[in-house]
Amino acid sequence: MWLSALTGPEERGDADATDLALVAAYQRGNGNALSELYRRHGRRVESIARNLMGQSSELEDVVQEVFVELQRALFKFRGDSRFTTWLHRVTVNVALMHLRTQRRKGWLRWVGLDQVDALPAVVQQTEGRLEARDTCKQLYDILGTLPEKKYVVFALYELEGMSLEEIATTLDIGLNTVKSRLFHARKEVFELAQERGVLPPFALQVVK
Amino acid sequence: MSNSNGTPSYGKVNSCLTRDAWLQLMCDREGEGLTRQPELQAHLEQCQPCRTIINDIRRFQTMLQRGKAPMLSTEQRQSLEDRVRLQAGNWSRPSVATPWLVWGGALAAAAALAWVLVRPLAVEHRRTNFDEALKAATLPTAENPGEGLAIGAVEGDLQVAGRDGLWQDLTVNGTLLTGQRLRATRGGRVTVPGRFELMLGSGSELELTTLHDRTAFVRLRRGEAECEVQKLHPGERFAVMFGGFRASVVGTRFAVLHTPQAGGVQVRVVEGAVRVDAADDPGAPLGETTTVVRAGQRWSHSAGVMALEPLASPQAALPKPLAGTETAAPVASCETAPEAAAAPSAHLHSPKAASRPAATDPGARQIVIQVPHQTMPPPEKVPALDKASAGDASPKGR
Repeated sequence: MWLSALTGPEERGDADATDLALVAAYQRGNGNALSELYRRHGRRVESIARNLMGQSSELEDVVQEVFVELQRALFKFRGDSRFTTWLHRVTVNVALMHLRTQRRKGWLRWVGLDQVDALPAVVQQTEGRLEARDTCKQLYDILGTLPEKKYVVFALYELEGMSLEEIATTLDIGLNTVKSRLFHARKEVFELAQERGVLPPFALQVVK
Repeated sequence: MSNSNGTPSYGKVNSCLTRDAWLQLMCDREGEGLTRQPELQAHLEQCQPCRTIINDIRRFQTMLQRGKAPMLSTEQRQSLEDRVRLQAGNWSRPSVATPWLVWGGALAAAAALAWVLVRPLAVEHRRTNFDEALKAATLPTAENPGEGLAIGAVEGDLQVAGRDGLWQDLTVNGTLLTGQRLRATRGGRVTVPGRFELMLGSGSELELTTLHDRTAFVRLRRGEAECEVQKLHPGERFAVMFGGFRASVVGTRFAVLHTPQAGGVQVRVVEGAVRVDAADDPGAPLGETTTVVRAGQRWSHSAGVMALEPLASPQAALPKPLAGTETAAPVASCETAPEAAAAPSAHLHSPKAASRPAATDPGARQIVIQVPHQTMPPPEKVPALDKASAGDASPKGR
């Protein structure tokens, strides 16, 4: 069937054409097209949401909600932009919506170390993982102090690894705006990390 | 180079880059390659502060990579895929209603709701209009007087004139119609059984503005008049207009006497109560100057001054004998007014006779209204009356 032909390696243009074909198939009533879109882009959606939200128990829900939103909006998609760009924009919006809700309700996004101690021993991970979790918590604590616009750009560039152009397209802002926000965000995060002593002790050797 | 907090502080040292510049340079993805350039390598080998900066920036980058949140587990991912697949199975096309269709539907719904809400009011309004139209169609007018009221008894030399202005003697078998005028040369009385009696003094004239089964409005044009009105039932009205005022009574039997007197108008009440207000239209709502004159009181209006004062004696409220009626003989008897039929002339000739109905009926009331001739409309404003009076000295037979 035509779905099996999508599994092979594709060039970007072919990938876009495949996405458009899947969207058109879904618009015609083929529900399996949505499953295929998830299979193709679910990992990236999960990665974007994870890097925006940090360690969160709601990550699965957010990813599913992205595809719920996608299902609703898929009938309006006319192919004016790349499907991935549109999908990433939806992902950012859904993740930010969850973050705002969490901040408004004052929910803890993290399992604190004091709570980790209370976990059963079998659940507690190795010391290295706990240390990584602590670093992650401290990092997102610092990121949480940033304004949302800088936060998104920093997370998408430094953590998600998007290019500046890709961020500008996804957020529908100018390239210089992205650079400016990234510079200020990077500076603030670096200074806060130094102030709080977050920079890890296993630093690389001084360049000789 | 460190501040008081022990935190390294960087500044531009000789030709060194600042910390922010290094940060910008190192964090850009091509920046790592720049540090491998020979001139920068040579500088870093000699410059300890720059090496410290680079070291901190690399530690910062390492922290960012270690600080990434973990990905979903395989089980979580499988569960998520199942959820999405299940969700994809519920394929349904959303509503494709166009905006104009949505707005049109909303407007239609609003109009339907408004119609449902307003329709009862519209029906009520239409019914009210119908009732008013019916009432207007049935209310007698001068052009359409209707059936009128049957006359039970006539005494004296009463004459009646219709729209043609010709005066004729009023007979017992006739009817009183809306728009007619009554006059008495020497004095007379007409009785409508069960409704009222009208007594006119010499030279008096009144107009029957509205005569209906429930409404009787008369306007005293000149002279004096005495009215005896039977008990009014709910919805019935009787009013006398005189000199720009209106005397309307709500209650039981009463009598009205309108006699000329210099110095203004007067209303004297022996029993019951009468409501006096300044209104020339019998159907007008009550004015702000409404005065209730009760038994034993006298209301007067003279030169713009209104007064309400007690009567000296009840007999003072009784009407004076009608001038020129001493020789008047009854011309008809009233079967439904036995007290009037028994002594019609005495009723007209003496104050006691005028108050006789009140004496025979415990619920009777007498109200006396006196209006001087000065308050009457000038003669030129009532040409039909003058014309008829001048050209009709002798009563005509019917």
